[in-house]
Amino acid sequence: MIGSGPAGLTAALYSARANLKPLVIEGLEAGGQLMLTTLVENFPGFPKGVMGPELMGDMRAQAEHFGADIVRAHVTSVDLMVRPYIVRTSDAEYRARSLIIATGASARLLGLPSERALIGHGVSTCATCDGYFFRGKPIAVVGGGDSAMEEAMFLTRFASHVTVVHRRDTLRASKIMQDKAFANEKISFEWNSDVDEIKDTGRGEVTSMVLRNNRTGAVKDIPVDGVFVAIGHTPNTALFKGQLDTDLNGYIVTHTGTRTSIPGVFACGDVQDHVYRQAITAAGSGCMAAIDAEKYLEGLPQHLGEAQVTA
Amino acid sequence: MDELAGDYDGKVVVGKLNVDENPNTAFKFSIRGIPTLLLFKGGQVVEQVVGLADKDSLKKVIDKHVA
Repeated sequence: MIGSGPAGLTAALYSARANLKPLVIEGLEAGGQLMLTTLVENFPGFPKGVMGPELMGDMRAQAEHFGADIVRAHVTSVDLMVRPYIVRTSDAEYRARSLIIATGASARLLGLPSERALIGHGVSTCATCDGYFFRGKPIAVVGGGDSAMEEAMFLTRFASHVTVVHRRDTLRASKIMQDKAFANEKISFEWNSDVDEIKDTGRGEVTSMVLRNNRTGAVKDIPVDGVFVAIGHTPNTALFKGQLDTDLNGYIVTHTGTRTSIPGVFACGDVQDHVYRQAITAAGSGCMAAIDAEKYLEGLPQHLGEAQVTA
Repeated sequence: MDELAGDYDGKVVVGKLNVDENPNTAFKFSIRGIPTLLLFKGGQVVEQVVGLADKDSLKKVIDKHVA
């Protein structure tokens, strides 16, 4: 398994229990996106909610308990054109008879040069990581979905004020999150607004953001010490470029369950899901991938599993 | 980072700074996100890497400035 979020670890759990001797290569962000959240209230089975890192710690322990090997490494390249497949990290090379891709998705950026220049100096994609730096300061959150609302509300613990910037006049977020955000006194909204620029790259730190109303064209410069970008995610599929079919947005195309364009290679979780993107759906698809992989391995002629690399 | 310190022993001094304990230093370099790696050469910041990065990427960045 490449990836150790709910998808990768559930695939590992099921594979381990099926005696398939799974190996999980954790990746740089071991545990996936839930490591960057606090209380998870919508993962079934936890009436009082569960902390993201705790849930992932338990998933990891459970997979290991049944025999999954979990390696603290980062995959640098793969070769899916040979059998067994080759998976390389900076220190080792692994051969896999079957491969489950669970590399998830990473935060999207707005794409502004000023944004890129100021990452780590006021621009961030993770409220739980960096909120601490903005105690008593005014900040902005760009986005209109559940993640943006969660980030905004989390940040009110530190910030003096949070301005939510959204390009439309209605939020995408679920009703319950919207109501909470609207009720929070520290949060205000800039509707129909696009971020034109984040200042001040000359000073090397965020001092304000320039917003443009996409209905009226009016421009305003709002002083903020930080800008948190929460506009969605992009799937982590660079490793597989040219080897696996992906859709226009970069998501791995799956069919008949978790099958990819290469037999024996399966994909689960956010890397192949742009519709649901929940921890529970990722975990569910991880289970499916393990079952699909098991069926595939059962159907393989024995010699195809041996380390023969065809020229 | 520990591995890099070993690999570049004698060429690069690798240090770790806890921003909770050293807020003034963090402020001096406008650090508002961690981890942030600053590469100093001749007293100047010549490279910055913000966020998680794998060893190979970090080596590439360091090798630009180390003979």
